[in-house]
Amino acid sequence: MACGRYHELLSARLDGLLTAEEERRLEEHLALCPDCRAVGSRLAAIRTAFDDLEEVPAPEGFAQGVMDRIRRETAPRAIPLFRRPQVRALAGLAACLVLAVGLYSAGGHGGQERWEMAARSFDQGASTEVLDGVTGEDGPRVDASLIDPTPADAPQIAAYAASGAARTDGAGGTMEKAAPVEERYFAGVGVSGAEAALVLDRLPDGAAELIPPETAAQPYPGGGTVYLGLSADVLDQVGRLAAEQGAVLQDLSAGNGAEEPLALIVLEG
Amino acid sequence: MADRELVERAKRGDQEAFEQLVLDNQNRVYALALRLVDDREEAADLAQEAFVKAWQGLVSFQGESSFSTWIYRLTTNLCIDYLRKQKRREGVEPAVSLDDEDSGWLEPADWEGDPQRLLERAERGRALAQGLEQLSEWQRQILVLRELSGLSYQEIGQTLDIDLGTVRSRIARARMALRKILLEDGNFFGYVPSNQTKDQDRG
Repeated sequence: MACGRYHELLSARLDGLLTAEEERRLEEHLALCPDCRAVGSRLAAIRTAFDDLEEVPAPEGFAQGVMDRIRRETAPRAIPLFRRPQVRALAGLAACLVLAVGLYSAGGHGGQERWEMAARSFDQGASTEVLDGVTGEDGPRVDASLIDPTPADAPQIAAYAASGAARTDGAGGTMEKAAPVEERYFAGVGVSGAEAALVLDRLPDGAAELIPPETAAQPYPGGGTVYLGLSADVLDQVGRLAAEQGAVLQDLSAGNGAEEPLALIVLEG
Repeated sequence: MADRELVERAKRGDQEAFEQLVLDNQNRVYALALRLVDDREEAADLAQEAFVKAWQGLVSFQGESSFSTWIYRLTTNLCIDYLRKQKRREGVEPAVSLDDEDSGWLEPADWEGDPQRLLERAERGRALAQGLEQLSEWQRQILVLRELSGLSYQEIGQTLDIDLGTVRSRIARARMALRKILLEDGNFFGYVPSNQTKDQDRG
């Protein structure tokens, strides 16, 4: 007997999603088909077994790791959070970013230390936000009540917010968890003399033409390029292109009252 | 100490109480993440993140559902975000965000006494875990979203950006594939209680 379509009905029945008509057809068939009756009872047994699904032990130190992250988040300090040895740090930002790339690329002389020192002097202010490059995405992913009510009090890795939540810099939209394994969300990388930055995961089409040829470009630690000394206009246009093409990782240039000169950071990979 | 009381204390800032909640739930949360993203390191990261988010959001957790349910939902959301990001990097646009309604959630089992039954259930649980591993990625993911995360067909459709009919047929196919694997395994259906039908199931 070709029972394939009845298998689908049996499955949907487990989830209570049969129409009356489908239910009727299924019952008629089951009265005649012991195979399908058996399939039905076995599918039900599988469903039940999910309640007893074997746990996978969390890796050692898991709970400790959670508590450590919580403690780092709730302690009000200016020290940013280093999630990886390769120094991908996130910190609360105010309008002012402090210099790091300049020091880092000064090369060699305790570059790592200087990076940390520079990072430590970041102002605490608004949470780091990561705007999804796809604008117009709506619908909360997580209950809006998960927004920390006082985002400015402590550094946060990433606030998880529902769309439409008012943000201090006027940028709404869905926010994402930042800095999973290979993403390079970061904050506080500034460049000598520059304030604020736009961070992209690639140079959008058409952007190369907007950047003046004499713009200084430096390698960004971890892979990528920093364009220094851009005007607000240029940054704005590039930002718009990037938003259209879904290339924006972080937009720290908008609404901060940031002053020129500005930096554009384009990450690699 | 009862779950409810731990939550109450954690809400007031008691980190030790929260740590106990973490310990109580970490294995299942980690297992869920692992079964969704299929990468141990990433799963651990996401699972930890879920707990951190739970801590941050505790203040508004009202307790309409259990803490376990809630942390499961947080974990699912984070994993889905991660999976979408992975897809995006491969050039596929993410689907519409999830509806946050709790729906069709299967509460984790309470262990009910009888040691023989417990043993059988544990054996089946282990066989099921092994069977899940043998499924293809999409089969496992869709089943986990349905059976562990408790998402409705509609939510699954939104998550995976497929229509309801496709959700329904894929879930059915995944279940049938799992059934076939478990039949071959032999450990699982050996424990089907005798009050169920003994009809032939020729696969």
